[in-house]
Amino acid sequence: MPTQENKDLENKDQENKDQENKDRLELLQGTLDLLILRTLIFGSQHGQGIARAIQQTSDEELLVEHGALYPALQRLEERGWISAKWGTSTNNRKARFYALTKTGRKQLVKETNKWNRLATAIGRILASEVEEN
Amino acid sequence: MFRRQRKATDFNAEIEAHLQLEAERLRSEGLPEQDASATAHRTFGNVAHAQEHFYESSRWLWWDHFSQDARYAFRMLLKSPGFTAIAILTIGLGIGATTAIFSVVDATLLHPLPYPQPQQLVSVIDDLPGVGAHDVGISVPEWHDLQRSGIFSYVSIIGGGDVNFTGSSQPARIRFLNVPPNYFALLGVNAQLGRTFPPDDPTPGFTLEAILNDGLWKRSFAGDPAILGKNLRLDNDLYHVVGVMPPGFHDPGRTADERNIEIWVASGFAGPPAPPPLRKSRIIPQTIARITPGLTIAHAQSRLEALVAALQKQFPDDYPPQSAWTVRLVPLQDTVVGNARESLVLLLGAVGLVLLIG
Repeated sequence: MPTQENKDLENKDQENKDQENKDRLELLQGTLDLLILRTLIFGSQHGQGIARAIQQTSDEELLVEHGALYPALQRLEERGWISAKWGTSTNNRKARFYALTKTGRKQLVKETNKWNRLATAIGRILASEVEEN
Repeated sequence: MFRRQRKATDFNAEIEAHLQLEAERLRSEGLPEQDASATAHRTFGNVAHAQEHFYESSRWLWWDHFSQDARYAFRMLLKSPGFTAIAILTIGLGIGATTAIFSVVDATLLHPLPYPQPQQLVSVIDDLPGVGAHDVGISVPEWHDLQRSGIFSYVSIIGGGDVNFTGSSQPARIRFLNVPPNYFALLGVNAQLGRTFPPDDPTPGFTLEAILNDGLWKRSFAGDPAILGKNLRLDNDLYHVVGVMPPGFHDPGRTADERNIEIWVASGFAGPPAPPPLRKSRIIPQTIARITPGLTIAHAQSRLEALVAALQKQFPDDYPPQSAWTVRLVPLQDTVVGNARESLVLLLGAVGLVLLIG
C-alpha cells in the first residue's frame, strides 16, 4: 500500500507540474536578459527575488526556470550590464544582490525598443492574416 | 574581456541561497517543511545543468567575444580596402622605421665604444677661437707635450685616407689609417691573430707593419691563417702583415666611413717622410687619448689648461695671444654620438608615434 500511495503522490506531482507548464508561457530565446534588466530598474535584487518579480509582474503567465536565471545573470554580469554584491536579504539571509549598471541601463533602452518593434511587426502580420481569413 | 573570473564555489553558494530563500517563501505561504524544499528544487530545475552552464560560460565567454570581435573587424576591413591598406601601411611603416632607428640608437647611444674602460677615452680638440678657427688639428711637438704631461696614459694622433691595395687575390681601393704604434694599446684591444703594434716602437718613418681588420682578412685572403708575414702593397709601399683584429673591432671614428678602416699602418711621425716637427704645422687632423686612471675628465681638463698656459708663455711666437689657443677634452662617446643624440632620440620618438598611431 505505501508504494501505491507514493505512486499516487508522484503522479499528482507530475500532473501539477504538467498543469503548471501548460498554463504558463515559455520564454522566447533571448528575452530573459531583457526581463532581468527591466526588473532591476526598480533597485537591486537577488536572483530569487528577480524570479519572483518576473512571475508576479507577468501575472504568473511566464514560466521562468530558476536554474536558467543564474547563468543568464552571470552572462549579464560579465558583459558589464549588471553588477553583483553579496548582501543580506529582508529576512536576514545571505544572498547575491544584482544592480543595473550605466551600460546596463542603456542596453535596457535598446533592447526594449528592439522588442517593441519586433512585437509590433509580428502583431501586424498576425492581424493581417485574420483580415484575409 | 579579461574580467576577474568568479569562483565556482561562489556560484554554488548563490544557488544554495536561492533554494533556501525560495523554500522559506513557500513555507510562509503555508507549505509544509518537506514540500517547500522539494518544490524549491523542482522550480529551480537541474542544478548540475546550471553549474555546467556557469563553467562553460566563464571559460569560453571571453574567447567567444574575442572571436566575434575578430571576425567583425575582419569583415569591416574587407569592406573598406582603402582604409585597410592605409592601416597596414602605417603599421608596417611604424614597425619598420622603429626597428631601423632602434638599431641605430642601439649601436650609437647604447653601445657606442666597444673598448675597455671607455669612460677614460677622450677626443682632444684644439681651437683658435681668436681667429674663428675650430678643430684645427695638432702638431707633432704638441702631441709630444701631451704625451709627456702625465695627464694621459696614451695619446694617439691619427691620419688616414684611401689607398690602392695590392698583394692579395684582387686589387682594391680601401681605407687605411696612419696611427702611432700606441694606437691599439690606447684602445685596449688585442689582435685575434698575430699582434698589434708595440706601443713604444721607436722606428723612424713608417714601421712597415700592417694590421688588417677581420673583414679584409676574410674577403681578400679567405681568412688564411698563414697570413702573418705576408707582403702587401699600399700604393707603392711594401708592408708586411703582423696582425688581424677581431671581428667587431673598429676605429672610434665619428662617421661610418671613418669607422670602416680596413688596414692600419704605424709611424712615429718622426724622420722621413714626416715633415720637420714645427709647432705651427698642425698637420694631424685628429687626436684621441686615454686619461690616466684615477683622473676625471674635468680634472684632466684643468691640468691641460695649465699646460696650455705654460706653453703659450714658453713659445709666444707660435701661440700669439690674439689666436686664443685652447685645447678641450670631449668624451669619445660624445664625439662618436656628437649632437646626433637629440636627433636620434627625437627620431625614435617620432617613429614610435607612427607605430602608436598604427
